[in-house]
Amino acid sequence: MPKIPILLDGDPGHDDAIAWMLAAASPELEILCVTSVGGNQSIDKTTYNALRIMALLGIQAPMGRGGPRPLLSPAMTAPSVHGESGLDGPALPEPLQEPEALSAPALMARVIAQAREPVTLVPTGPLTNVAALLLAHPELKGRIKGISLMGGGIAHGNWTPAAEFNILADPEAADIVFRSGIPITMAGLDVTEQALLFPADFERIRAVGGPVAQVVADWLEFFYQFHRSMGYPGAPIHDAVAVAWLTHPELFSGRDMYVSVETAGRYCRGSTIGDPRGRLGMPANAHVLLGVDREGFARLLTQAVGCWKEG
Amino acid sequence: MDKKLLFIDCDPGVDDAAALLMAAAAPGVQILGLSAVAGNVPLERTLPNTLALAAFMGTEEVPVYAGASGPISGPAITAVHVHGEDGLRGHELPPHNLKAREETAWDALYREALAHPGEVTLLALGPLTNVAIAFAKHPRLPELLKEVVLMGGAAAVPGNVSPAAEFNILADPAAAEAVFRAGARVVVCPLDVTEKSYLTPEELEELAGQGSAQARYFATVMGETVPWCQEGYGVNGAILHDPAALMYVLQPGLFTGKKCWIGVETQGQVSRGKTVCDAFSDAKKEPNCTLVYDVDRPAFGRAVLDIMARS
Repeated sequence: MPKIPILLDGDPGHDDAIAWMLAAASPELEILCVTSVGGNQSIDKTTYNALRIMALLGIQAPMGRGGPRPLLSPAMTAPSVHGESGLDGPALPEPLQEPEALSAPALMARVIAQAREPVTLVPTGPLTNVAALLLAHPELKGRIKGISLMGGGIAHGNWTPAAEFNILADPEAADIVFRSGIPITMAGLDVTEQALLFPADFERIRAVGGPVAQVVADWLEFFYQFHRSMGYPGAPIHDAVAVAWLTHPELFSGRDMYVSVETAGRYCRGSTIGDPRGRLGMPANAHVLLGVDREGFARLLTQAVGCWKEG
Repeated sequence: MDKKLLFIDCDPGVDDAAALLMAAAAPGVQILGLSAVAGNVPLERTLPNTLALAAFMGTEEVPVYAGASGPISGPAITAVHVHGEDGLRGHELPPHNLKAREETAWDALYREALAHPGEVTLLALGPLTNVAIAFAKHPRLPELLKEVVLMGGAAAVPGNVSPAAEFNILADPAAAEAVFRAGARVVVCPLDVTEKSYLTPEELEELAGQGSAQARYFATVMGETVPWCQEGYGVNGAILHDPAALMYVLQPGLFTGKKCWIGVETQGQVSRGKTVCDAFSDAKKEPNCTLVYDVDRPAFGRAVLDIMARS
């Protein structure tokens, strides 16, 4: 079966790292390139983390570094969730490669132009790079089959009452992406806060054995510290939903709707406003995921770490 | 048992009419005053409707006051597509001789609150213009009121006018924000709970057969909304937004709520009028109200029928 060509773009970040692990383990997917964006930590740190994750997982693809800041907003980070390094917890191998000379959006453009078929973008951080790509290369829109992104929340936010972190970090970029006309699947908080792994799942993952299983279990334990303090019963693996949807859509439920991104507002900047009742009269621009088979999702991640088990 | 002292601010409006008829029939309630505000229809309609309802309710002795004819900020909106040009879908009420008092809505409310400190519940069923003006002119009023129970907003569900906003809040977002910031004991009954507070077609039929003119009127005007509730909300019945807020005053045990922070977006492009609610995010802001989000629907239906049977 032909593989789905994907571009990974993220701000690792524990859940980005686990999402990329799932992508690397999925026989249905082919990773064409990896790009970093500032978000959970500064661009220096997320770039370094991206390269270390690629070394750990053996992802062989060109890597592009994102720019220093969002389109308009000042840079914001999330050290309370991901630690000072952006990927605190277990020791990781040092990078095996350097970033390309091309910037992240420029590398994405080259890869998309050269791909043998339309590609799917999988952004799991702020949408800065994707917006830059779409602004600079409108001619490539037809070469992008879809965007499976983690970001937003129809019912509520997490970083502010109204806004989820990835969208809040660069609302103008998100607005550009949602208005691009490219089919979007939105893995927002509505579904990702249900995509929980519990401590018993961490142990099942550790018990799989092998170096990646150990690291993933350690990441999960670190990631759970923050979420436990916020009252979550487990660790929401937000970003992995954007990958799992591509290979196992049967695990998810959702509905098509028009989603606007609020770029103004005193309380609502960065919020994704869904219109499930069609009051704006706009055609749907996103498939919004709303539910997940949590057990199936946990099983998928547990099986994935087995790919690196020494035979 | 001491009676509950109630001051009702309203913009009739068919569901306002239903709420007023219920309030007059409810045991243990003393209505201190009724005030009208521009909302579902302009004040030139809501004030005569309030007077006609006061007479029809059999509460001719309850004073009726005029309030504001438009929002404290922003454009006036109406909901004539729901309530008809006259606000009561053409269902005329019997003739009467009642006239509005000279005193304004905001002064009358303050006078009653001073006369009964800590005992008066303000039930706000329309845009919060009159309440905001009352709080601005009489800074002691928020503390003097027992509580402000309001129908308005949408916490985790879409709005009913825009994707983000519910009618009463969108009709005067600045007034609503002022009310949330005033330090009053505010209880919010948003669409989250009111859309679950409906009468089934069978219950409407039972209501129509109860015998009183008031029950028949209630069943008629609300019964006409059933097709619209079915089509727009997937609810087989008549949604009772304003009666739900009244029912919270009468029988709070039927409802589920939680303390939380709510701010009203006054500036957004797509989110203007959104009640931004921190019941679900990680921001954990200091609560300024009680958010009512669920109801025991069958018990609610039963209670409406029991109360109206006394009319």
